[in-house]
Formats: sequence, structure tokens, C-alpha cells
Amino acid sequence: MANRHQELLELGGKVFAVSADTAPMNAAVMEKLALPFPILSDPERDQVITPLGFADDKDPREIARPGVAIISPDAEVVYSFVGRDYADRPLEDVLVEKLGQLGLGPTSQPAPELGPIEAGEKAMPYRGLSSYLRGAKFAGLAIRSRHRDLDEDFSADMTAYLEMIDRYLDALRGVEDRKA
Amino acid sequence: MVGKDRRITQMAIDFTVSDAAGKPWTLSDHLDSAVVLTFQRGDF
Repeated sequence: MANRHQELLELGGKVFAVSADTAPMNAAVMEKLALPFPILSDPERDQVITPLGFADDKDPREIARPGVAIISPDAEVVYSFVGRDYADRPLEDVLVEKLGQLGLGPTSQPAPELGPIEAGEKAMPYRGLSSYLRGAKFAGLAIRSRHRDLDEDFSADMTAYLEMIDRYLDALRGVEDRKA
Repeated sequence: MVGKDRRITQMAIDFTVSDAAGKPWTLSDHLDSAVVLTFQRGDF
């Protein structure tokens, strides 16, 4: 989403990420990825994560499920996508379409402010992300190859997963551009 | 097939969370435009 942030602003949508992590942990992720928008902290998940249906009640870490919600200036939730896992997210093209339907003029968003930074214990260093994603991609390719002729639904799901991994790899290239 | 793409009509209840500087962030302060909330599982 960071790579298409400007496009979303042009359509009248300001972008904010949300997690159940603390503000310092969110600041660490923002710095690592040079995000052009802030990550908001809802540690008890009771302000927005649960009310909008994004609480992951199966994961013992009490975190949010991935996904997107678009709220119109009239405070209506005009779009919601709750994902199953980290790679299950709506394509930015869908968000562009949904924002376009609102017929809003362009908006702007200041560079986010960072406070103290404290990465989580298990946070992956930036330099490891590319290898991690490439590993996930090649595992997915192998699994899809094995099931291609056996289960069309599964193969289609794996194709969507692999496309999302490619988008994440593209996003890393965007990080390099923003950090340059 | 992929995920759960729900069409819903729901009004967002105003809420306050913390931004990355630890300052309060309230939804209604930002509804001069649409707000795109992207939910993250956490740091990685």
C-alpha cells in the first residue's frame, strides 16, 4: 500500500495502519519500512480492531487479523476485507476502485511522526525480509505445482498467495526508494 | 474464494488510539477525507 499511497491520496483516502502492538513497536516497523503513513496502536483491541471485526481470536498473541476497512467522510464503513493470513489482503486496485466510487477530491497526509523506537523481540531485520519472502515464494511454487492438476480451488488460492508475495517483494523495492 | 470480502453497511463508531509518537489519534479528526485503515498482525 505504501507504493500506491500517493494514488490513494489523489482519490481522497488518507491511509493509516492499525495493530495491537505498542506505539514504540509500531515506530520500529515504520522506520524499518520507511512508511509514509503511521501505524496506530490499539493494544487492547477494543477501540477499532474488535469493533470493526478484525480481532484474531484464534491466535493466542491477541493480535489483529490482516485486512482493510475504508471509512467515508460520513463515517460509514464502505468497504471491509478481513484476511485469513498475512498474505490474504485485498489488491490495491480494489481499494482504488472503492475510493473512486466515493467521488472525493484529492487529500494530503503529512509525514508520520515517530516517537521512541523499540522493535519486538522477534522482529526480523530489514535485510532478512527479501530472503524470507523469496523462500515463501518458492515454497508456494512447489506446493502449487504438486496440486495443480488435483485441486483447482487450491491452485487458484496458491496463485493469489504467490501474487501477493510478489507485491510484497515489490513493496521492498519501494522501501529502498523511500530510504534513498 | 480468497479471504472474506464483505459488503457491509456499518457506521464507524468514533474511536481514539495512539499514533507512533504515543499521541492520541481520533477518527473524527480525520474525516475531512476518507480513511483507509490497513490492519496488521503485528511487527515482523
